[in-house]
Amino acid sequence: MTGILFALIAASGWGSSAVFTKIALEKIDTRLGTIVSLFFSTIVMFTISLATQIDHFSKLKMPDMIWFFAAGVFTFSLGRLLNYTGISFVGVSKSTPLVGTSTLFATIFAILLLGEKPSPLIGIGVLLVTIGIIFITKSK
Amino acid sequence: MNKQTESKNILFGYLASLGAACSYGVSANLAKSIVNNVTEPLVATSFALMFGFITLALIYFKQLVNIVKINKKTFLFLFLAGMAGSTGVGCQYYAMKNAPVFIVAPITGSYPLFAMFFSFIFLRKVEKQNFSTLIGALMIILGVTLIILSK
Repeated sequence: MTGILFALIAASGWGSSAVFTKIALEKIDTRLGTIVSLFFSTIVMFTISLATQIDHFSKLKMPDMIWFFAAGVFTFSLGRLLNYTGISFVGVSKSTPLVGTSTLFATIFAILLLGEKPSPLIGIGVLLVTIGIIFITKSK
Repeated sequence: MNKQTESKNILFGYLASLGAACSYGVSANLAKSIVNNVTEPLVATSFALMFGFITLALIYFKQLVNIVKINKKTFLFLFLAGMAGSTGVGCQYYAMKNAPVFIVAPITGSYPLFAMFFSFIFLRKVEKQNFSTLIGALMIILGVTLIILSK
């Protein structure tokens, strides 16, 4: 039950985040909005991780920073900026499901770059996601 | 705004959304390596956020002068957006710890439905919802759930 509750909070957190973003971006530039939002997220996340997992910080080495930098560029510099741009241009209802296809891209990259084996279930999933994208982009 | 510009903006919005999905797809594979080989997800996310913020602030440093023009309401909503997003990441981590992936994945994967619901409640005046978008969102959620469960 605890797991389900946390999963529901996660889903409603991401859902509400998109709506807050849309309201905030009505009056400012998307790039500036993304920078300010990232600033707040960084402060909040560092506070939580320092409060709960401070012992892990001392184990970090300098080369680990390269991994964090790469993750930061793809997830936040690029990912969040494009996500906010999508919300700003086509709205929450159309942008959020499209951004939600990231699992599809993650799977494609895992198959192409990490050599993971695709299964028939993945094929059905890809087909459904593609039809879903068509439905959203064709809707008025 | 004329019709041609509007169509271009819509196309740009769709491409940006799919670009974000693609970027998140790359980062999911990076995250897998980081969590397996480097450190805990919360610590990694904190540093990734910091580097993401610094990179974007350096690229668009000219935009930073406009920060004084942001009103309190906008600051509040940007803060709430950041907080809600971070809460989502943290809760997903704890959900995965406390329940099997076949239960957690469909629930967290359904976040576009939550977004559409909140949008219907709070953005009714600026955003139109329609049946076709809802069907599309449901198909994407079902497809993504199947992909996650196949692993």
